[in-house]
Amino acid sequence: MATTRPLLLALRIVIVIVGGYALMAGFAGLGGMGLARIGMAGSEAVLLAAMLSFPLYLGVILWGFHERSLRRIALTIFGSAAVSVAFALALAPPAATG
Amino acid sequence: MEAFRRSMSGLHTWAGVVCSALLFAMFWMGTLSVFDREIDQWMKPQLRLSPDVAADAPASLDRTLQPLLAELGDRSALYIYLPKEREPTLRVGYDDAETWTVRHLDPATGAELTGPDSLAGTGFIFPFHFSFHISWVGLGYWIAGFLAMAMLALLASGIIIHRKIFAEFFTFRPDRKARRATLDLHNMTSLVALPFHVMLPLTGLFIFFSIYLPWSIALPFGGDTEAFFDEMYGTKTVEAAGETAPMASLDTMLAIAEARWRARDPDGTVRPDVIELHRWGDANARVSVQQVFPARAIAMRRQTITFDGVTGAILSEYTAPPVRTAHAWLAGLHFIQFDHWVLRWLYFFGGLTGCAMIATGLLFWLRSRVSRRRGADARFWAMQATTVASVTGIILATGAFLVANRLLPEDASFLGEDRAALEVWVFAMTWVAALQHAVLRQAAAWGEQCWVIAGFALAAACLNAATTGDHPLAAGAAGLWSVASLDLALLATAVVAGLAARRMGGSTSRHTRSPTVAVANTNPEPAE
Repeated sequence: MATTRPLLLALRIVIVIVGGYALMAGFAGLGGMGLARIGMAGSEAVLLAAMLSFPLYLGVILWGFHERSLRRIALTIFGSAAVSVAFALALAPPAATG
Repeated sequence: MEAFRRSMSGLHTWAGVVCSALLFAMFWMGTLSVFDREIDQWMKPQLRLSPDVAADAPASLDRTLQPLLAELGDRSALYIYLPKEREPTLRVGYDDAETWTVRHLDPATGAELTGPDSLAGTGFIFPFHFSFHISWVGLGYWIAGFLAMAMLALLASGIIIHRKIFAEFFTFRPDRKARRATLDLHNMTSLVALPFHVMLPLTGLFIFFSIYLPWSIALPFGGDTEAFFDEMYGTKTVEAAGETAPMASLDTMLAIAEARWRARDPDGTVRPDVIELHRWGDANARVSVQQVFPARAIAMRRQTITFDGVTGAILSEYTAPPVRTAHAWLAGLHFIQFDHWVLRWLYFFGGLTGCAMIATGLLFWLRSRVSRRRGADARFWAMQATTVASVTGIILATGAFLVANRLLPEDASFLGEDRAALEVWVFAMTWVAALQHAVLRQAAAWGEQCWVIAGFALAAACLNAATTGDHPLAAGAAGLWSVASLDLALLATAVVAGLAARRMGGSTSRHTRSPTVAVANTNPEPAE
């Protein structure tokens, strides 16, 4: 393992699992919105993006437990999550009322 | 690559130690769920209709359903499942004050099949598999999803840390030290069904994608999740008009649906099997005739025709678009609702292989802890007890569940719990007792619990013969193949468990019996 101190390990676990989940949701949202914008039916688009986001999460987990630098995985994972969520929200139609 | 192997080895060990107990439970219940409808028939004898008899009866749905529909009225959704080979009854499902209720009718006469209540396979074993029966804030689904991702991580890291994958495929050295043999078995059970082990957690995640990604899927619909589901399944939620109206004939709607689908697919294996009634009896009633469980295809729920409940006219038709079809196909790989007995049994044995993979993984970790000169400390005893309870413990609890089903009287009630709930209590308390037994007896508990498993399996089969008279010969003669097969499987389980118990009783591992003995017997092992 890249670290022996329990606290750093716990932090890594939180970053990978929580941050990875946020990244997965952001990717699914951005991917779905992007595909919908270029003409795919909404349900088709999000379904495809959602299915692809699971292997992505797996990749994040594997990388997150291999990469030595905690700072790098935190920045990469949370950064990508934030960027994808922001772009997804920017592309999305306004929230339906009621 | 070496550094990658090291980090993945750490991930594999850590994730394995934390998740294996619950993963075994998921895999065990999932394996049994392959035959959940057969277990239903075993545990609820009133459902034992011969599939040959049910297939012959030309059922007029209007006639057979009329009394039940008159009673249930204009709910927002009523689901009618037409009889098929694995479930020869006519099943009606609906939500009754947030509780999913199921009633079975004889498809020929329309008589309701009542008897001792039990959650059985579809009500207890199958939902345990994907939610552990933890419904509070849907936590059970999230635990299952977390475990599924952990399983994928375990499989990926396991593949990465292997140096000689092809050689390990064929390596099993039972004559070598127990630790080496355990690892060999762990590798072999992983590799021999690897595509199967990967496919199941991945498709399981696909099935529940809407639970895990609620925000993402609603984005293109402005946050309206209902709209997403309506588009994905071709349904529309229906509001009641408030005035009653006479309903059109369900038989006619079925015939129209079947004719339309057959015209498009002349091979003729497309038949309607699920009917959704929305606001039946109301002027706004809708009837959706669906093909959900194709007999010879994997993808589920691809065709829906919606009729007006009053006039019987077609309102809309839905055929699944490409991505939805792919998703339905992948989900269908997991649900295995198609008619194919060979594949079904292969799934069953694949599931058992997965259980063996998880159990041997835990066992290998246990043996490694001791042999690495760390001796057996309190953490080891706790881990060993947990392992025993997770593996043989849950199996024998399932046996107790079956035995309780045969022994509890129909009107059983205790402290406010009804019969079905009492069966679950027996399961839970037996599991707890198995844990306590494992804490006290440690390594010896393996063999002792195997004897209990053998006892329960034998008792269940005998009790079925005693209480229902459907022993394998009689059941076979009556065409009740599912009951006969389950009894034979129970007898086979008793034999296997008995043999395992005898083998374990004779050679309790010296490494895991007590601290001083373990340290004295430790030999230096090459690092794996």
